[in-house]
Amino acid sequence: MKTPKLLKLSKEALNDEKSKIYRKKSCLKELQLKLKKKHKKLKEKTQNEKDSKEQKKLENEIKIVTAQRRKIIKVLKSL
Amino acid sequence: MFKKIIFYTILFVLAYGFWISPDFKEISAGVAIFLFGMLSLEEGFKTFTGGLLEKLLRKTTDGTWKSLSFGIVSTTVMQSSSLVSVITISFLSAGLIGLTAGIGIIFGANLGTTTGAWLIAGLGMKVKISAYAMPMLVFGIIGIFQKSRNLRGIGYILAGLGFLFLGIHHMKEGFEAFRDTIDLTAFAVEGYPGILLFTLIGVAATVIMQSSHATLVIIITALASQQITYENALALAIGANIGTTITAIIGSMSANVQGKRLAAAHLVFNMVTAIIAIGFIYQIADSVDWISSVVGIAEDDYTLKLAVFHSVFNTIGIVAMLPFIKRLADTLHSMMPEKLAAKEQPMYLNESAEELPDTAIEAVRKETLHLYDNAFAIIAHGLSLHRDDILSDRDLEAIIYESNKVIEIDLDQEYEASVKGLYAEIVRFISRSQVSMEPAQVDELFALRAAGRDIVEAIKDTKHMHKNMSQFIVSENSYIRDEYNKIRLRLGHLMRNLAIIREEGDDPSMILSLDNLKLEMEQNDTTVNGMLESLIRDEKISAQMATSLMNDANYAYDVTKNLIRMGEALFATSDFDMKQAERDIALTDDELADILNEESGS
Repeated sequence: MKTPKLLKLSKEALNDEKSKIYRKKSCLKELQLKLKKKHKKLKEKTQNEKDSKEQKKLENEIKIVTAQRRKIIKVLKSL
Repeated sequence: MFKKIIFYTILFVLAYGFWISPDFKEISAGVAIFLFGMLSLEEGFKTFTGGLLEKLLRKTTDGTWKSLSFGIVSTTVMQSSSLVSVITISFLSAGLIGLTAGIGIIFGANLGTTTGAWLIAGLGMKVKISAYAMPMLVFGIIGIFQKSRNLRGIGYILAGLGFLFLGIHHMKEGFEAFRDTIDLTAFAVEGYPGILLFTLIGVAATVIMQSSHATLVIIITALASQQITYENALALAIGANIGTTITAIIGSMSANVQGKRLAAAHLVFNMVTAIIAIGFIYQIADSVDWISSVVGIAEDDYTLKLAVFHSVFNTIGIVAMLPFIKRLADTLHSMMPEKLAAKEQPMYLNESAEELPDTAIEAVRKETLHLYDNAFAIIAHGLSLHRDDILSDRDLEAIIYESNKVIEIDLDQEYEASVKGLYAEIVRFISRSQVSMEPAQVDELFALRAAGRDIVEAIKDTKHMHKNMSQFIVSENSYIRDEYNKIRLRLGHLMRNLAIIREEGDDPSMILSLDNLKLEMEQNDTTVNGMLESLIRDEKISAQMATSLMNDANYAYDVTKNLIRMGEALFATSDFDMKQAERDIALTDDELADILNEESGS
């Protein structure tokens, strides 16, 4: 690793605020990925569901996941 | 009383020693500075234990070799097997790791600690380390005064190392000056009597100083200035190894039975290693000579040879004990059985869990889950439902409509017996342990305390519903019976879903599923109100029934709200940053209202 890069990394590690933001971003990205997979799974489940009551429940879950994914994008943009 | 006599005797002996010998004063000051350095070093490493160590420990629990390596590496880096022992006991007490993993870490720590002898013998005796001590102390103290937690941690570590080096320097100087006035080798004892005597001296010195490192520094510096013989130094090193278990035993006194088992394993390991080392001391010394000649250590470099000896006999101990690690854990389990704690007794709150902020938080989380388990049974019975039915995958609707038998329960008595005392213990532990915490950690503790309060509130709301529910689920009026059964069904479903989310707590996205439960809660509230209107309008239920139902629907809503809020604080097992991210992404009441409005609009 080149010295300037090493210096930058250690500077970031010592900067509490910056490293906090970095950790927050990586957590949000992990959540984003998990919710994306969940969204896909729920969509498939809804398509195969025959019971209208259950279908309604799944649709609600999709709405929640969609709102959460939107919120992640908003928070990520603000960081 | 006995402790006090010992304490004052030691003070008197030291004072007398300082008066008659300035060299003894310098050696003792060296030991004191060295021990202060150890404290500072431990303080520094404690700053970095949050999160990182926990993550590492979680990954080391799945294999003996991994836990062994963790013990070696962490002790090599932190240069304190006592700190690693205390942290391991603390994690074990909080239920973060298992006993086998804990034993593996302790075995590894025994080998890791031998690197200290290498550092002191290789560096401390050959280089003028006091020259490094001064800048380290200066930079360290500047670091300690910084606001940034990381810089403060580095400051403590640097200052700790500086004091360690300074301490070694003073001990070395003291022993060298001592050589000119008195020859301690005159007190050397040959053969096995000498080995046993010096082993006991090593044990005593380590017990008094609570640090095998400090004993080793004294041994090495005394050996370097030829104040003790090589043979006696080997025996002292064996004694130091036994003495170091005292720290773990003292640490385990305030721990639960798991911590006590670990301290016992530590003692067994060090005793077995010591017996082997004493029994085969001459053979091991020969092998040390051979290893030294192979790696190029001079024949008369006894300090480095002592370091080799220290590593060799601890390695022998590991090789001898490793195959029996599981059997040792099983034996300790059967010899020191877990006392079946009464339901209202805390299972995780003990003094050793208070050692580190992270373990204290985890202990509170687990204890609050224990509180929830007790509350779960009360709430379930309050709804005339069985715990096992809620936790099974059977159709809850069928269970409720098939059997409307009222479960007789005195909710007040149950609350007093299994919740009130435990909740009080949690609150007391939180007040005690928050003192040395960072603001974010204190916030986390407060969130857990609030979760405890939510559980208590949920029981109280169930109690309010209980009388009417017991009356109306067996009512002849099928409308009111249906409405109360619906409440039971909704709350039963909620508790089942909470159990599922709790089980999948490792998946961070699962906690966000609580938002679904919140949405369902709001939808149900709207439906209940609509239904209530129509039942009153159509005169299907009496006015008295209607007011009861209205009140109880509100209580059910509150139970739901409290339990969901409790789940948000309690079920997340991910690390601190992930928990924060989950809380940031969880939908607010307004955001949920938007989804509801969108739905009613469509």
